[in-house]
Amino acid sequence: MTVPQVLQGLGVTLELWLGSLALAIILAIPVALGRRSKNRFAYGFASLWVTIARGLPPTVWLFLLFFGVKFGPTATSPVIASIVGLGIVTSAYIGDSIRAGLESVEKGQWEACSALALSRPTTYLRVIGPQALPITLAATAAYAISLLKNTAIASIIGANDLVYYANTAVQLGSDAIVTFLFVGIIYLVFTIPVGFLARTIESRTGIAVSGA
Amino acid sequence: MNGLFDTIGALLPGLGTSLLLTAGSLVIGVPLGVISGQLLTSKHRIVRWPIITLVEIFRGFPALVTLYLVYFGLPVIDIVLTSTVSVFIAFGVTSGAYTSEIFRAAIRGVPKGQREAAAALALRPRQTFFLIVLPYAVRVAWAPLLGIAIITFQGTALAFAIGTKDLLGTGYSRGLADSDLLANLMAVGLLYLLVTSLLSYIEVLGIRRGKKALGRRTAALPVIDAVRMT
Amino acid sequence: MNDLGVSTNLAHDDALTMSALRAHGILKSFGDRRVLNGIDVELAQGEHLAIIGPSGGGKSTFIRCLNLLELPDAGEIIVHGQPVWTPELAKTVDLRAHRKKIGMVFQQFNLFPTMSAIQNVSFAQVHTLRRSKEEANDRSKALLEQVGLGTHLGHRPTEMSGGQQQRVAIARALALDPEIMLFDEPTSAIDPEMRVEVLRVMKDLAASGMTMITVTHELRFAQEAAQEVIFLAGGVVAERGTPEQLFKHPENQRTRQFVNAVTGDLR
Repeated sequence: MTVPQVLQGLGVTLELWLGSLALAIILAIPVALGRRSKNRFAYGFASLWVTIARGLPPTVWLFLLFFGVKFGPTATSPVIASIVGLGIVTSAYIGDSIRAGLESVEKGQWEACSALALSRPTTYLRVIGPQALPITLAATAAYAISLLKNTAIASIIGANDLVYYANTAVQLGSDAIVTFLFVGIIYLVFTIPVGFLARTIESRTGIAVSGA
Repeated sequence: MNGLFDTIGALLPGLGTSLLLTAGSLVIGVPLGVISGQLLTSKHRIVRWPIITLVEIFRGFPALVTLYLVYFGLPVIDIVLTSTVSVFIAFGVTSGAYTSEIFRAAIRGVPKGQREAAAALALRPRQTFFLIVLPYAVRVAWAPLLGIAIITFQGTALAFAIGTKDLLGTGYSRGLADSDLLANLMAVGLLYLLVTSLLSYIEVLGIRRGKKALGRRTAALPVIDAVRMT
Repeated sequence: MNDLGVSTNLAHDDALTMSALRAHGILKSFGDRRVLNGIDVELAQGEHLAIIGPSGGGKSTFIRCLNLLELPDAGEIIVHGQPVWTPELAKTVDLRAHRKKIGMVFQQFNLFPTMSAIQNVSFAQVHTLRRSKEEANDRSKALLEQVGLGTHLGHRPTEMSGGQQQRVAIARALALDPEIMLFDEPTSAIDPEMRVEVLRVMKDLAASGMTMITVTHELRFAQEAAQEVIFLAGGVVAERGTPEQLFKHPENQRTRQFVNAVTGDLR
């Protein structure tokens, strides 16, 4: 029976997805601020981070962290290595969504906040943030979908996720077509609603998000 | 320093394989994308919906799953393929799904006047498509297409999962043999980084010029990267 | 001597002469482009100063220097006898404290789009002045009634015309009880038929004794509401005087050209 066997991996898949998403969002904030900073070091460092994070395929990141680095939790646990690796890669994209969101807010809003002597936290959280949110959320949703699909890579380094169990099932004799189609459909179940969300935001605000 | 150059030298064949895999996948994927894109502009739901379904499936499946489906699945119906050909098919279909949207937008963006001029000149539909519409669409779409190429290039690292000696595979084997996985994997990363950066740079230059042609408000460059991850 | 090491005689002098704001030698460049080439302005308490001039002449840049949205490269700004900006003070200047005393109204209104009119006016009262919400809302209601929008308290910016939005913006700036109000081309982005309502509010404000500086193209308004007019061109004060002097008997050729071009003939 394919179904129960494969679904054993659902927990780990979700763990990988949400874990790396959380890490990515946390890392993305300094990336976004750094890329908007006038400070040359902050800007340079953030840009370098983005270049390297996006320049290596997620697969290579996972291999590097799990097989290459010899110490620490990423060397021993494929799940942790995957969360860190995918978190790093995704942080570059989400950082850019945050930056794009902030840049979409009219300059005049920043000036109004300055003229009204509002503090920086108030400016970001109460005035600019809400206006930056639609674009940031829509783009982040799109990247979250990609991230979910990328968690499948973790199976290659041994994380026991959906794809891992699908492979196991096939090795034990399950029909390959049925099994992998089934696994694929599970991913669809999660990605299609999020895709609808992104496209709804796109049509409501008239801004193109899902470039392709 | 010498060690680095030696390593990179030893990895170049792997890089070549990865580039070949990318090219082969795109040779299948881009025409698929053109055809799908054209079909998606059809007024008839009965034409669009099957395509939409296929596109959603292949964009929704992780590329690795599609790859396994082809490599392990096709033998079930007696089609046995080498790992290389499996990569071509799997990534061809995946990149085709992604490029379909790009071409749909580009083809729709061709001004009506162009088609009317072609009709006035008594050109046949097929001629109109290949001689007028397609060149125009390609002019608009080549930059985002480069983005897909980059994704595909990075995606072919998955080929190692079915045993292909691509860049990652070569680096990993060598790393095992030398007991220096870190250095070899870092060299692998460096090579991916260089190729990706080069292609990205060209893409960004192209997007700045193509933005006007696509005619939609795009929320800043990086959002187009939403596609960038397979 | 006070904390700033400045002779308190200065404050004393200014209080005597009732000088609200003085700016000396303001220089500002953007990259290679010198936009302000040494501007001197003195504003007395309760006075309304109008700044006119061609685009690119530095009017907006200057007024934005006064509330430090732009930082001058050189020169000094003194408000009610207290030096607010000098090159030495540059590093320690408390921007927020300064902006509590000087309010600004922008050409593009810059209302907060996610908030209603009353929320816009109350927001900074709560977050900058730390007033209670009730106190802020009471004050906001009063101000919005004053500018003629008592019936639009719950309206969002998108539901209001340009003239209405700008009046909300004026109320929002007034809500912080500033000592001086700055207006940066407040009617330029408003359709002509709606400018009257904004200009009326500004005239009332000036008449009530508010110390104001307005950058504007509305020469008739300047003539009627301002006590002093400055013609700013090429980054310098080309001419200054009363509206009567500047509009009817301009000494400077450029001033005359400008005034004629803009109004046809104000006479």
